[in-house]
Order: sequence, then structure tokens, then C-alpha cells
Amino acid sequence: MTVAHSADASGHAFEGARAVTELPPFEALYRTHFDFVWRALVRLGVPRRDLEDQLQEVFKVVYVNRAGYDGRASVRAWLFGITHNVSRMYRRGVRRKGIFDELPDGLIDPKGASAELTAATREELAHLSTVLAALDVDLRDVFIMTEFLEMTAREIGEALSLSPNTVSTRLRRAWDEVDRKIALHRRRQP
Amino acid sequence: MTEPTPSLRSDLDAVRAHDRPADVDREALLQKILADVRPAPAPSHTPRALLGAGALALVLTGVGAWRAARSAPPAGANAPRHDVGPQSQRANAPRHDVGAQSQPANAIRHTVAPRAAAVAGDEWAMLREADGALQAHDPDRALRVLARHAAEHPRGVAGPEVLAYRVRAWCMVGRVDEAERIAAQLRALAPDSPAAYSLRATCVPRR
Repeated sequence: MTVAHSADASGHAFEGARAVTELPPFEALYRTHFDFVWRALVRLGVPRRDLEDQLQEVFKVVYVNRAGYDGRASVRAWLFGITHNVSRMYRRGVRRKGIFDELPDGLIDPKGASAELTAATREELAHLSTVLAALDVDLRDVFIMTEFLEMTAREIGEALSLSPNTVSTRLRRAWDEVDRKIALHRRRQP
Repeated sequence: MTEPTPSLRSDLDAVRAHDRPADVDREALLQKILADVRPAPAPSHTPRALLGAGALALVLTGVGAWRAARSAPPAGANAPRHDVGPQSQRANAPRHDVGAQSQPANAIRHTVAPRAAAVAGDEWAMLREADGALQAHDPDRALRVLARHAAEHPRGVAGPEVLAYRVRAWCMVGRVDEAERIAAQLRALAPDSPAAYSLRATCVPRR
């Protein structure tokens, strides 16, 4: 066991006992985390036409840098960092707030999940996109990483240099805000 | 207290349940990636192999770069610049934000000029060769490849990764002082890059 050091949003260091994780062989890493990287790229605003190219870029960077993985952060937090960087290089020059932007396009992939969804569900999710677009960026990032990328509080904390408690607090606040605005929207509907 | 939105939660469950690419051949993509990144076979160093004019040119340019690499220039002086292509192309070519994460050459291929994209592919080949040499515990060969890279791509776009490989190679030969010097260049050039992150697993894990 080692002790991982990081800092929360206010800059306070925290410590937590953590097992050092071994990185699996590259092929296993690819097969296990393919969906995660794909979903992250979609939410990070990479358009459908370039998803395969950017997915390849992510895994090439993973391959080149895999010797540097020291096991202190979880594999998915490490992968998310690389995916975020690749998407940032791809979309450099685009002004953005927070990690995720252009939500109405990026929240739901039209060729992916939403193809299976009902019109009502799609409408609801479209409204969620609008709500999230107006949400505080810190809350929005945590919400999307939790609800769409299915990352744990620990993984998000490692990726964003936050304590898991801060992540949980932000998620709770994000859901409060989302629930409130969705309820308001429903009341306004005829 | 706000109203709960159970339908929204079930909508999110539905998204998650189907949230994966249906029309992507994952295994074919994996083979494509592996073909790009797997180390090339070690080049032959027999005199016969060195007779070709191309090989001779590589050796001549490599000597200069090798000397430059060993002469301990000021931090950053030996690092590849992060603009690409000749002057005429550079105006429109994207620059790496050194405060942001830098990626290997192919990461920017969608926007670089055609000539720069070709160079980027060549840089990738050199990275693969250096990676293969390090995995074969042959740091001398890795350093030769990287010196060749410095000579052939003085404005290369794979700067942080090249520096990271040099650090690993110097660590492998036991030259911690040289590894530390190169690591300082890398940390100054791209402090948040995966390449800088990878230094944690070397002989110079900290600043």
C-alpha cells in the first residue's frame, strides 16, 4: 500500500491509503476500456466522423506512455486524463468553460445510445442538456463524469485533483440543481 | 427540497445501457493501432547495412546531434521546437501550448499541413524504434535513435515524448545527472503532459 497525495479545490492536501494498481497488458487495457474512452470522447465534444481517429490517438498515447503509469491513480482516471488531453489538442482554439462543453451536441451521440431511445426520452435528455449547459461548470463536470462516464468519486477526484468528498458534494449539488430546474420546466409545460 | 425526477434517472439508465459504438470493428481498430505503435525490428548495424547513402546521411547527421545532446546546453535549448513545417507553412500550423498537454505527432494530424503530417509519421516511427530499444534494454540504441530524431526533426512535434525517452535511456545507463537535466527541460516545456507524468516511473521521479 502507498499513500497518494493530492489536493482539493481549495489547495488543501489530503492523504488516503491506496493500493498501487498494475496496468494490464495493452491489448487488455484497450478491450476493457474501449467503451469508456469512446464515451468520454463523445462527451468531450469530438464529432462522430472523427471518433475512430481520436480513439486511435488516445490509445497510441496510452501505448507510448504506459511505462510511466505508476499505479497511484486508478486506470480510468489516468485514461481520462489522456483522453481529455487528446480531445483538447483536437479541439484547440475552441473556447470552453469547464471540461465538457457544447453539451447539446456532445451529451447524446445520435448514432449511439439515442438511436435506441424513445422520442420522449430524447426530449427529456435534450432538456437535460440545456439544464447542464447552464449549470456551474464544476458541478457539470462532476455530473457528466458520474452519470455518463460512470466514474466513481475516487476516479473523478484523481482526474480533477479533488478529494472524493468534494466530488460527492458537487454531485449532490448538481443533482439538486438539475432536479429543481427539470421540475420547474415540467410545471411550465402545458 | 426539490421534486425527484425518477424518469430522468431512468432515461440516464437507458442511455448508459446503450452507450457504446455499435458500428466499430474494435479488433480491427486494435490491430491498426498496434501496427502503428509496435516497435519496428531493430535495424542491422552491419557494415553492409551502413553502405547505403541514406544510412550514411543518417550517421553523419546523427553525430552532430549526438554531440549536441551531450554538450549540456541551457535548459530548453536542445528541445525540439513545437511549431511545424517550413516558415511558409508555420504561420497557419498549430502550435503546442506548452502549458497544456502535448501529444505525440499524430494527435494533431487533422490540422497540420500535409508536409508536416508526413514528418509526424516519421517521428512516430522513431518513437517506436526508441521504445523498442528501451524495452530491449538497449539504451545506447535508443539514444542513437533520439539523437537522429533531433537531427532530422529539429522542429519536431513529438518533443515531450522524445525528452521522456531520453530521460529513460539516461536512467538506464546510470547517468542520473543527464536524466535530471533532460527531465528539467521536459517539465519546463510541458509540465502537465503525459510525458512529464511518465517521469514518475524513472530515476528522476520528482522535480
